[in-house]
Amino acid sequence: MTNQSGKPTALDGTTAADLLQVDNLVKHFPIRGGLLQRTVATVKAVDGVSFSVKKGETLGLVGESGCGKTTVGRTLLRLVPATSGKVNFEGRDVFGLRGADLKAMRRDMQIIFQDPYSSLDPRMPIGESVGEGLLVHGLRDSKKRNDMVIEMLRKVGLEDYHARRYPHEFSGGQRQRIGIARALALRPKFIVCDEPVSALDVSIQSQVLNLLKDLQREFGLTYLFIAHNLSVVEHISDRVGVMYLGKMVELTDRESLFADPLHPYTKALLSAIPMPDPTVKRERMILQGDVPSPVNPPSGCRFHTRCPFAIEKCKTDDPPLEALKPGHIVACWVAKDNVAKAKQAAAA
Amino acid sequence: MALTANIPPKRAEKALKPLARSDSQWSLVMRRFRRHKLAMISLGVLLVILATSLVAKQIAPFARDYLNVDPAAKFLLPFSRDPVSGDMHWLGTNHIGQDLFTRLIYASRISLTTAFLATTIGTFIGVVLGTLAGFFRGFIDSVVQRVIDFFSNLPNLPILLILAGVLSSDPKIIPMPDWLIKLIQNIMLFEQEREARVVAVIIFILSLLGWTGVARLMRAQVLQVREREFVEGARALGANSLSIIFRHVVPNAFPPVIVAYTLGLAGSLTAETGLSFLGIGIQNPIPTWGNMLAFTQSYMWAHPWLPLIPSFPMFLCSVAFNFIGDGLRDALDPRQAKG
Amino acid sequence: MVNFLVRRIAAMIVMLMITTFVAYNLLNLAPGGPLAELLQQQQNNTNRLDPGAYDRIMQRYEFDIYLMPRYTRWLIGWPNGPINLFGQEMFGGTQVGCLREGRTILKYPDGREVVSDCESPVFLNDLKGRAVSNGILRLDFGTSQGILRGRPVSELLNSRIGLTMLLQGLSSLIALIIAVPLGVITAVRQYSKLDYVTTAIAFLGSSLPTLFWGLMGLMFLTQPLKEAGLPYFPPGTLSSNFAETVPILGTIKPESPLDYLWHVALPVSILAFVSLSGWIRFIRASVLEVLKQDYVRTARAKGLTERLVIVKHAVRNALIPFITLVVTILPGLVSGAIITEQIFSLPGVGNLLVGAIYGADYSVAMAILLISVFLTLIAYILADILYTVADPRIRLR
Repeated sequence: MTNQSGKPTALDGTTAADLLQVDNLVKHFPIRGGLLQRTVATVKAVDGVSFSVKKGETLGLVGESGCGKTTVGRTLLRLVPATSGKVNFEGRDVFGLRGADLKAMRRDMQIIFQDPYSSLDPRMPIGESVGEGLLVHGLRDSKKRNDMVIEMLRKVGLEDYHARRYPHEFSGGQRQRIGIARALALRPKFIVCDEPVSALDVSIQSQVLNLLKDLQREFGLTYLFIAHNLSVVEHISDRVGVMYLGKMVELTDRESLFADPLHPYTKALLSAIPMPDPTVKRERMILQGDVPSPVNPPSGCRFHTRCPFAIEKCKTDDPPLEALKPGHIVACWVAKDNVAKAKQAAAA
Repeated sequence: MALTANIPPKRAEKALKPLARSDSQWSLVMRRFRRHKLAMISLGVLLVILATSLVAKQIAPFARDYLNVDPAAKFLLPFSRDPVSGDMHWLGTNHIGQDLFTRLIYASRISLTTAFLATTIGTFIGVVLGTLAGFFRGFIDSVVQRVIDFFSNLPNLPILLILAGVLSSDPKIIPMPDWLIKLIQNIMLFEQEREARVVAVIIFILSLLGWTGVARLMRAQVLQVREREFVEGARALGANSLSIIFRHVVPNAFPPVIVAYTLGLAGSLTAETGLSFLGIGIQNPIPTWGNMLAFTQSYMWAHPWLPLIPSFPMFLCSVAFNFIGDGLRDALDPRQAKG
Repeated sequence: MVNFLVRRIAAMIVMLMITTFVAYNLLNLAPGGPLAELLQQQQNNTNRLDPGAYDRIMQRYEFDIYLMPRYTRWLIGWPNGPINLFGQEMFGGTQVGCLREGRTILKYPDGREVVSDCESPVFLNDLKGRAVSNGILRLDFGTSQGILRGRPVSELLNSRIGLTMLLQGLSSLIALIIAVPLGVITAVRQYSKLDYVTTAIAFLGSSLPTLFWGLMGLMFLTQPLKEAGLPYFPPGTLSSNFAETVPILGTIKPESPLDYLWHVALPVSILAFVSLSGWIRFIRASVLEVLKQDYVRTARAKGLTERLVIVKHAVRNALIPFITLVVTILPGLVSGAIITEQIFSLPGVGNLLVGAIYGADYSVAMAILLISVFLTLIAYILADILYTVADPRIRLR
């Protein structure tokens, strides 16, 4: 997967110089049943997802709940074993790492969780929670550890004395700051932010997002930012990927996605963002029906059951991810036709 | 989305949350427990009984197995004097002229230690197996589950009876580590090692049947805790399973086990009584509350105060364990208002 | 559901085999054991042990056969002679036991000489023609070794099981009838006077062993009541020797149905009291838990009457965990009243079990154990099935 020549390897024009490359990641959860508890079906949570993240950028990952975006984050950190696929981090094959190498990799890749209430051990003072990574990685000197913990707490906007407090003494926003400090204590290069603001009040959300941005600048961090809310992603991401039922359906830079969405699903998501100005009229696109079960995803394009533009081909053939425009990759037959027609028109 | 709320986070949140005294979870629990009056009284009563039994040898007016078959010394009423020595029998004597007060405080030492050891060993086994099963799932889990099923599907009393009947006929069938025998012998002030072996067998049997409930409870708790994000976070930090278990899983899964432990103490006390009564538990001349009570059955018509003497401390301890369990349950309940 | 049953019943059979095997071994490993007991009895009876007696006892109770084949003979009545394969009798010369230990040299017909620790070995051939039970799996429990020497165990069980089932069945029924409504009411009227009194009594009842309550009942509800001229209970056993005149009840003739009922009344009450104490606490706690739930608040908010809220929403959901407790009545029907039977000298199964263990009558003990384990296993399967009835969310796979 490493590409020494530095030529583009991915459809969207990213290169081997990228920090993280995910290639055809698959995660199936078995469902057991029957007399002998054999696997009778699988939940296809992630079904062949590829993308890469450039050093220092933020890649947003959006989709409805259950589309597999959280599973992507956890699988590539090896918190959940992948079914197949490859993840490459700085030239290291993440899924091939064992023992000390795996532990070393964990220093570089961290995660911030969605739920600030369950992501901190309620029976541990937060100083200990934040310093846990340092201890795990061999910093046994408690004085030094304490200094680093306090430095981290200050960085996320908390006070020294907070280190002795317990999680129940903090608000949701403060806890999320602690969660960030905990992930940051090891000075990682890459952080998976798993819906870090979804559980917070809107007023606190922006504080936490700004903190994440500031820290990114200061430490040169790279984020994979998972969210179900496009407006949050718009604020923080450089590029955005949209997932539907375990597949990536559209991946491009933020401006193109918001200005010129090509996939019908992305269009529907965008039309759901509330506008601050009530006088602005716009076309609402409301999806019919529910998300199909990931146990039996629809044939062909997985979105065809809910897509208002679906054609016959969508029901039978799975559209491949293709760069329909430079740096803008989409998996949709209809979008492909439209782009082709637009090109012809322009040429004519 | 407009991002206007750019108040410096420090000031904003400090204003919302006034300075409070920093408390660990345990000091919170202790504070709540102390407000539970019945539990506190129970704890006091239990400590008094424990203290008495601790100095049994020093305060007992007679030797443990002192007996006097002289009819004049039998079934003396409480607060009567010994016809030979003239010493006071505070609680009277039994059918062979043994001082009931002396035997009662020795019995409290033996019965309570038996209950404590049996429950502690059972709880320990349950916690270890439950944690392993819940945390690692897979093969270990199915093996442990089968073992739990096996033991909890056994009908308790018949099995206890058969085990006790077989094992107490020769306590050496089960090899016991010598240190345990020595420990029991020293705690219970036995002069003969044989007595310690008999008690060890009963402790073994009681703990064998007591661990399954704890294992189930612990497994269920661990299954819940291991799904919490801080466990995943610790793994993402590179912590290994052992440190995750000790630092995060066990401390968070443990509270209900503490409650179960106190109730288990009461259960062990009762079970020992039942076995003694059926003549298969700890036997004379070793005094326990159970066999002292069992013995009174033949004499209670003529001397109706006899059953009350061993029943009273048994009742106090059993009720105390139950109240302390209730108090801990309330104190450990996270839904309780804190403070 | 079918899958579930097949799997559970298969597991149950395995479980039964393991339990019986372990118990059988344990019992037979115990020093002393049936043999010592029998020899002792023989010696007491005749004051001397005649030389043939040892062999006769060894053979009659199969102590001359090794443990494994003895267990399979007990379980399925096999092996009962040489193994018959396609009409050919085979393995007849295989040693399956030893009557008398001692160092000897065996000379085989083919000239081999084998040094053995057994003076008179038992071969598969020797089992031919020996009496053997059909095996416990075919419901032949064998013969009693001590209590009713030589009589079938099933006869013994039949004569005892009725009383135990009556004690347990009646007491459980009474306990259920009282515990369920009282548990619900005390939870609904939490902190009322009724709640305080009931909870206190239930607390006492479940804090002290059955033995204590039995002795208290015996002490205060028999002689003292009689002397006070009130209706009283008889002090244990199953029937009186003389007609007794009891206030209100009138004259009770010995061995009349009334006499029988009068004698079981106190033990039944004690058993019922002890189990209902535990049950009330359990039901009260789970109703309180359910009443805190959001769906109960929703039910109230949508304007249902309090009665409907409690009966349709709270009670139904609160009683689901109670199923686990109620099914334990089933194994209790055989062995649940051991202590009570002992206190009141009632000839039930529990009493029989204690006697069997004391008297080293292990075929009786094994039979009772087997039935108890079987009923316990059935009870757990039943509990799982009842769960699906009570809670539609649970499906058995």
